[in-house]
Amino acid sequence: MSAVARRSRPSGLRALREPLTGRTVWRGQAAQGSDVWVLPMPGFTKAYASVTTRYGSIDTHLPDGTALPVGIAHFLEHKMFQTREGDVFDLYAARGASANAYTTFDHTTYLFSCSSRFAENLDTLYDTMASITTDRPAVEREKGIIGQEIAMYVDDPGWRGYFGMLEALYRKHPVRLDIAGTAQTIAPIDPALLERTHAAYYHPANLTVVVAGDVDPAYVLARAGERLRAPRPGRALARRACAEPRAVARPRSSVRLSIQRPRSLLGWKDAPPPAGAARVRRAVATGVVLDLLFGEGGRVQGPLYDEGVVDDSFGAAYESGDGYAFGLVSAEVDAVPAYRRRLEAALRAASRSPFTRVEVERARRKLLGRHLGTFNSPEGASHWLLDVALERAPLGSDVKALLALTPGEVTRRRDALLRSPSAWVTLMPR
Amino acid sequence: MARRQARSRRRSPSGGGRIQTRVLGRGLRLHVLTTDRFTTAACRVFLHRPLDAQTTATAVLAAVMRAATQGYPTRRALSERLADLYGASLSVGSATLGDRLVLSAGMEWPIGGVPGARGLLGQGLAVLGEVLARPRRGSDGALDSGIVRTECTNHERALRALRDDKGRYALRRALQLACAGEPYAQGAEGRLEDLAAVTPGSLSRLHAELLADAPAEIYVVGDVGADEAQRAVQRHLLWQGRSPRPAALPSPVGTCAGRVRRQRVAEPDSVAQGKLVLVFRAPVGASDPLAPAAHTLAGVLGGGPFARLFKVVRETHGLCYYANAGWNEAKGLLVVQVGIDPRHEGRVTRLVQGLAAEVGRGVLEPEALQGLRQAAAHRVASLADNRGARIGFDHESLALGRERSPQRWLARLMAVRPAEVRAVGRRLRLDTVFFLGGGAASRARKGGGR
Repeated sequence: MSAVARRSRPSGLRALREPLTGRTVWRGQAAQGSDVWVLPMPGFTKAYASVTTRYGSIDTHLPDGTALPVGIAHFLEHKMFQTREGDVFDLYAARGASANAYTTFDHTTYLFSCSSRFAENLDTLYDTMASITTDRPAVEREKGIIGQEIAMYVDDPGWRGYFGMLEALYRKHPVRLDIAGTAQTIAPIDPALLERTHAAYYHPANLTVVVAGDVDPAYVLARAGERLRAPRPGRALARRACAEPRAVARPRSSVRLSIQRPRSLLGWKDAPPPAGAARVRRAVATGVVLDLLFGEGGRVQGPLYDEGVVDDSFGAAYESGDGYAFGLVSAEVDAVPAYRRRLEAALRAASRSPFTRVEVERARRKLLGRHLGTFNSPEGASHWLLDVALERAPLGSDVKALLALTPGEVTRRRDALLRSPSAWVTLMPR
Repeated sequence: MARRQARSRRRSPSGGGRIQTRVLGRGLRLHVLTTDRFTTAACRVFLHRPLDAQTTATAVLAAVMRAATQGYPTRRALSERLADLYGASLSVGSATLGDRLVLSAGMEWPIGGVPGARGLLGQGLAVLGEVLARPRRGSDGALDSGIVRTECTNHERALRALRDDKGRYALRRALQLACAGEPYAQGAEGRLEDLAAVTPGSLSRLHAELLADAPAEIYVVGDVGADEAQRAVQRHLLWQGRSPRPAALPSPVGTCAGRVRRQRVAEPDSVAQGKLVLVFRAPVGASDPLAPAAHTLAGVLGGGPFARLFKVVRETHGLCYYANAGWNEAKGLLVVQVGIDPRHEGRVTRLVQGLAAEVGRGVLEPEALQGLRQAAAHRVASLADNRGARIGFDHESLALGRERSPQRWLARLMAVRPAEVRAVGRRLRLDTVFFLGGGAASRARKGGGR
């Protein structure tokens, strides 16, 4: 891939070793504090690059205490593609690169993938972060576009069930608020507020660069030092803590929607996660628990599927971040009360005995294989690497935790999760 | 390790960009892409049949095959075997390819880089072969009645819930209406009314017929040479009972001109966002010399953020979040999909028609044309990194009679002239406008908000 792919001596970069594959990940810090991670993937045609700010929908205030409208992190993400030179998408498109961005609870990521002209695209990505250029008509027009994005999700039963569950589990934590906000909450957003928010959260010191592909790590770091600049020094921002009660907000809730089949969700409000490697270890153990209970042929999924109580729509997930952690099980069902009773009985049965060594070993193998599969593409590898970077845990914590798990630890994790405060959410046809 | 090095000497320096095809006889072909780029191997088997009254049964059969086998007689046993193969992912399903139905079974699993990796290639292929040829049977020899009953129920639920995915449902309805009377109208899922005829006996006959007669394409991608792959496939994957001369199927390509008077169908639904689908038709098939121009027309109209729909309907007028267009080369369909406020249906329909007419006249906005060409070049270059897409491109090319080399296909796209796009535009006719929305919730939302 052009001169960029030539290996130069990676000065300023530290070599880290991924324990399962032995691959080298390079990490460095750019001049104004951006955290830079590069995974060279020789032989791949495509390169995948992203810049992430640790600013997402749960950051509801500016550092000076000013309250922000719900949805502004996502709104800002939309407007970052407008520059004085025009739409950034046009620059990428002219070079055949595919660009996008997304906003989550705790970060916002801008990315591109390309198979040529990596250097130019990387500069565009870096430059996009430097400033926001917008005006009132453009902001007002964007409200129409985002209004349609919000409307699209209003009709999506998966999304409605997910946020219905977060509203049921959380009383105060902003994780309960939709990432995009509502038409009402985004109405007061104007250019001045977007500029203040950008200045607060897009400082280079708050940014993380992740690149995977056949690229030169030293080049990626050097250009970050030159392009990710701000007039004043800054620092990575600490997130405001939120005193969330342990109890759930609503043990039972129901939403009516234009759907044919009801959906039922059961969620558990886990204790807020510890930091660093301990968080990774807990997440890995929980992943094994979910697989052993709700995965294909699992202790709960197996009998419920065989009885025809659930179908392929049955699934489980676990998420954790600053001040929140939850697990949920979701299914499309014919009759909600009968499903609830059967699921509760299956959960009791599945919790009567500890997990066996054979079960845990099998899950371990499966998850190791899946981890190996993340290196099949620069996208997959890059997403894994971004998770590593944002966790602030040592590289390889996930694989080490997986290799070290014991049946006792997995059983304890199961019992802790299933004893957490829980909530039911139902989606019913209108 | 020595074996790995010996194999790698046979590979092309690029990591293997060319697919080698071997004719195995009896309508079976093996396609091997040798590359060490990926950490796991992949194998996919495609079995072709007509898109006919057995479509619903084929969809159920795929689920029955995925459930359990003679050797792994429960879901749990099969999933444990997959876990033992380091989390091998297994999928079985059916999909339309023009006027054909394709049942496919595929697996991805590590064959190196994990402890005890020796022999994993053959072990994985053996599981896939078991799933294909030996689904679990009852004592009467027919497919297991309990599993068939469960999967019929699940399929019925899925068919009833199709409408819950509003975008997918709107697209399906629009294609049903546009292609009424053609096999393509029924879609891969089939129909509720056909489910009653699905029994263990009928599924067993369908399964036997597929294994014996269906033209089959087998793909293997991974750190394995063509000779080794062929030996492993013949030893572990292939099944008995193949007919000496499998069925000859008609081409999956079936195009026709759009109707003279377009039809408009609206279905009320209490949704926040209306789904608008416009289906244009042109008798331009995959092997037609004008096919690259048809792709260009669709791409300039709605192939990405560089395209006219995005620039005009979204960016200029702020009327939508997504608006895209795609060319279906098996059926000669230009399909436009937009999610909009139901109040704007008329306005957006007119905008889309105007833009389609503009591009159809050969007015190709330079930025949009360049964006399309660069995006296509990126997609073709990226095929080397994406096994699923590479297999899909090759399989479709073979079935549709399209240029098989991605590079030559790209060269033809790059050479398209405005006059050729005009030629497609002259043959293009708006056939169907479908709109989902305008129910109670839509009206209630006129003030905005959630």
